[in-house]
Amino acid sequence: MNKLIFGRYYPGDSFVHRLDPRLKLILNILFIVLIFFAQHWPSYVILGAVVVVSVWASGISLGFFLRGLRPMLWLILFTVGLQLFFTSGQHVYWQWGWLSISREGLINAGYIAARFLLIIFMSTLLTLTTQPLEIADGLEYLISPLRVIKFPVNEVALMLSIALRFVPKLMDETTKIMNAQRARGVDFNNGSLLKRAKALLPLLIPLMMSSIDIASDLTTAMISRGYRDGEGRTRYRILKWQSRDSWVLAAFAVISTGMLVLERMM
Amino acid sequence: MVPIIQVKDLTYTYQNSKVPALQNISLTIEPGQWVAIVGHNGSGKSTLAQMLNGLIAPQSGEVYIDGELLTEESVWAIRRKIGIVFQSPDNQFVGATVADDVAFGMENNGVPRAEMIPRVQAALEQVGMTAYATHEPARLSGGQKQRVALAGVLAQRPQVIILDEATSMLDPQGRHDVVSLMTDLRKTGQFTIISITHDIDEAALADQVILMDNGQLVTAGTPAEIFVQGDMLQQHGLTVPLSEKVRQGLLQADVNVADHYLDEEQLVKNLWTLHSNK
Repeated sequence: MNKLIFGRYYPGDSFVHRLDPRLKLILNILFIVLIFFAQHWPSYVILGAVVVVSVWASGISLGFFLRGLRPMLWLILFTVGLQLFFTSGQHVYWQWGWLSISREGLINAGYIAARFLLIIFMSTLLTLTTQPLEIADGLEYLISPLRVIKFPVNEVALMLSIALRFVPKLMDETTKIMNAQRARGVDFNNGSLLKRAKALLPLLIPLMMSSIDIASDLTTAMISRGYRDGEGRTRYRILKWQSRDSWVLAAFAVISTGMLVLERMM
Repeated sequence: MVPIIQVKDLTYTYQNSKVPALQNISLTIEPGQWVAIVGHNGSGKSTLAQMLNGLIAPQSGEVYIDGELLTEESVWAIRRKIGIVFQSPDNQFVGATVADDVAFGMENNGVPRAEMIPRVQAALEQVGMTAYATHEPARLSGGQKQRVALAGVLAQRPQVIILDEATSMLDPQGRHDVVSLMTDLRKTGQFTIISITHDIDEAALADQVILMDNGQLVTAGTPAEIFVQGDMLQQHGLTVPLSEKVRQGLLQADVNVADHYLDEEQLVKNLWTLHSNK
């Protein structure tokens, strides 16, 4: 588990680290959309260059990235394999029963692999360079237009921020309960699937009870400190859009327009 | 002078219990005092604390804070006057970082951001946590989290600070830090401090000690008045402070120490006097 860097934060103070989280979130979404517009190799080269430049600007070494992505390799190979063997086409190079490798299959598999890698790289870069808190703040801002349809934006944002704040605490709690149960003879790692599933009960139930305790303590503490509901609150933490954010956005707009024009011409 | 807290004939029974958690409690606390409420587990201390800011509504009786009757209308105004630090350092930490947590109460009360920033800084300075402003709770010790909780209370500028067993889950060092912070706060004279505790040595620092047992107020008085009655304390499931234990032991060993309660400093002085008179 520890090798997986997907979804983790890598502390730093690079150019990418200091970008506005809202910008990073939006660019990630736009980038993924853009990937699905790419139908030709030159577009992939451009997108790949964008990823490489972004990783370089984040100050995180490419090697660290690749090592972290190793656990996802099987997923990629599996999908690529499916594409490779099951796409039917005219130029068949190799056939064995219902398995065949065709030219279309090869191209498709290549595209799929490229898309996979680019999406994983970009979203990993987002979580590596943005603190969970900033992501929560960014999301709150992005969903704030939903206020018009009476969506409880403040409450959802508070929920998200409390959930994130209690993730490490609950992880600790889980380890503690696991060790406590192990000390009492519970075996979590051996036996049949059914046996292992049953062994999880003495972990899950205390964990749930302790979550309820935490929730009730936290509610009491929040009410005592004057929390009523999301309305009428002021904010301590605010996001600041800076000129570098505008520049990055402009650069992305130029690149994506360029790529779309290129796609049209081919 | 209007008493800061006045409680009249408070009674409360929890839904699933037959015995009342509080029975006809009446007490008055003057502003600027440090009052310790002691009693063993289940004596009703925490119920009383939660009643003072309206977290629990009394079934009968009245609570006046700063001369104002606690009702459904006045409860939010009264909560601004009272800050509570609870027992568990982790479960009361709302903010994602130290500064966010200190600001939480002010955010709720609509304090503008420009005013929040200096108040957060001042409060962190007061508890000695300025260097940790951007830290997440997972990176703090229990004592540090309680100091942050206290900073959150101070930033709201309450008149009353209640510490509901705030030191009971801390190690000796953390406990010492929080207690010395409380003594510093008392010196400023701006706050009425109510500490609920079973730590009798902590209670010994207070101006007033209130002893509770089985939902009833057993006795109230200065530490000297209460702690000299060692037998009575033990009857109600409490111990006596260390200095009193030492004094009792010395008396049994036929050392001629004073026959009334002494705090540590007085005891040391007393022994010096005895020694030099020999």
